[in-house]
Amino acid sequence: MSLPAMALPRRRRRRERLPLLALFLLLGAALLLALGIGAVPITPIQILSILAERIGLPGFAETSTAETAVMLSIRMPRVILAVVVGAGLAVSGAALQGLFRNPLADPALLGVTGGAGLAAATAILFGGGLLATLPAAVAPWFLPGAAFLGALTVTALVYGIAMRREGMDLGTLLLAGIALNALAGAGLGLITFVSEDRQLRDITFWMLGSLAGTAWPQLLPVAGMISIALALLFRLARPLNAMLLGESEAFHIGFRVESLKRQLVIITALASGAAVALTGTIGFVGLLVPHLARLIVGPDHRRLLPVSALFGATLLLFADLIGRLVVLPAELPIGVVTSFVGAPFFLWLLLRGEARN
Amino acid sequence: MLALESATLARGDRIVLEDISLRLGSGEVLALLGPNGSGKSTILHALAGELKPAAGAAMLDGISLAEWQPAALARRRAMLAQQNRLAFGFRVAEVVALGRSAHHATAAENDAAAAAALDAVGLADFAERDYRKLSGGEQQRVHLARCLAQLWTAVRTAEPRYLLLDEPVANLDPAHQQTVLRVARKMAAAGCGVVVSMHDLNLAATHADRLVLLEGRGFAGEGSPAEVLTPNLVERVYGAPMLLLRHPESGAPILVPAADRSAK
Repeated sequence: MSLPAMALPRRRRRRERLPLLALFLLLGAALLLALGIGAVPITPIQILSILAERIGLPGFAETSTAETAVMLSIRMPRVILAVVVGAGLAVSGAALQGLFRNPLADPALLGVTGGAGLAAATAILFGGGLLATLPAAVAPWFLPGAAFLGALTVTALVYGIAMRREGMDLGTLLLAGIALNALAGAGLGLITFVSEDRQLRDITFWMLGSLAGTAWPQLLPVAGMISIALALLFRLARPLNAMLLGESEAFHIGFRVESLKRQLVIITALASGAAVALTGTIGFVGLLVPHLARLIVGPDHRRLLPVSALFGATLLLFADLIGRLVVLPAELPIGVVTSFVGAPFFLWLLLRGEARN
Repeated sequence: MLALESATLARGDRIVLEDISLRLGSGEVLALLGPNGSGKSTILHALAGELKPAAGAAMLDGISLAEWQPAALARRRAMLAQQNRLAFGFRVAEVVALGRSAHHATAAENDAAAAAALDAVGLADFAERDYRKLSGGEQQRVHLARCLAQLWTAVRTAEPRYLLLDEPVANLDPAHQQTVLRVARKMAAAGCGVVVSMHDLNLAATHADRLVLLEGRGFAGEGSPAEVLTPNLVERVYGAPMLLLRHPESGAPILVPAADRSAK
């Protein structure tokens, strides 16, 4: 009787460590490629040398000031943004899929994407005049700030509608999210209808997502917020596992379900809201990555959430790299790349599952 | 002592049971019987601390269930729901281990609890199987094992634990119905109080110490199987004529439908 239980841990460990190691290597490769490839090529050795010098160690490769500047002030923020946004969207998606016990959930469901899009478009439409009156130091915060507030406002509405006397109703939460997303979409349509050509182009580009033009001052609060959100979500892995059994069952085995639901909605809204605020809409990462991660490590959130984070970061790095390289000297919007790669891959997964059954 | 004291239980605005009292001690198997919709599950949800009485109280050791911390409550009572939906591909051992969530135990203790629980429901060899690929009846037994693991203790504790089972045998073949009800009996022998709701009057008569038969908004009968399962009472509650027989071995009452006279 105790035999299977004793044989279990070792087998489990081997099964988990290998993919984790492979993912770390893949992420490392993606980082070196993303930092190295571009108009000013930088070799991996140079990258490591610049990083070493940066933290006070002696450099070990010849690097020019131009290379150092390009890497540290242009590519580095962009790469970090890709990592935190990819990880933030993927882990939010995984957590929401656990909360709703539905593998089709993603951060857009809370109204985050719709709210951010509507607010960003409004800011672009009316912002021109306002922006001229703002001090130069505030200007770069205008659009991300509006998008972030828009995301949180719509999520707060969805949250408010779903709150009942007995607690939060997840079915209502889901439907309210869909309805408010549709409403935000209609508002967005109205705005594009009345915009001028240049505004229309700005709105369209925002909706397609981009990591370009990221500067350190805007990156740091976003990276900080997403990192904190991720740390908090990782701590909720065990209650999330319990939620897969159902809300009642999660309570029966000892979890505070109401508080858990509130925390999950708020934290995922902050993480995905911060992510889309700087980058615009990036589709499919929150939906696709948790599925991939689940295929490799199974549904246990203690492994699923960290692996989703690694996967999401790597995926977005590669997507951004592809977007930068395929139509030189222009750039493809990253949302286009993630959906172009993600959708067929998702279909392939579905069909493969079908064939297996 | 797990108890309902003059409790009125409602689902939304609809009052299901009015002013009922029920006490469950350790070492006892109590069966809840009654027609569909008579409130068997409602009582179990109230005893689990999930449904707060509209009036009266649900208490464990004299303290209202609403005041218990969920984790502390989970170490004292487990509940098996009527339907368990789990759409994600956990291994069986992982599902059972979820029952240990509220315990601050060592990994070895948790593994021992999960293994003992799987063994008790006859699924010792299933630990590594994909939960989703099991039959409905096997899945139900996995969840029973999860509940057993939740109540499992390495040493026998002074505080009695309570196992609440909502129609645990509804989807099982006769052999596994026996398995499950024997598990309930074993848990009672180990010092648990067990409440089990079911439809099969004869199984209840064979395996339970005490029966509660629900009707309207209250109890039509409460007591030993012989006291509750009388043809008159059962016919009144279910509206179907019954004959009373005796179990040839145990002497427990057995009710069978009376022949339909109008068809002759």
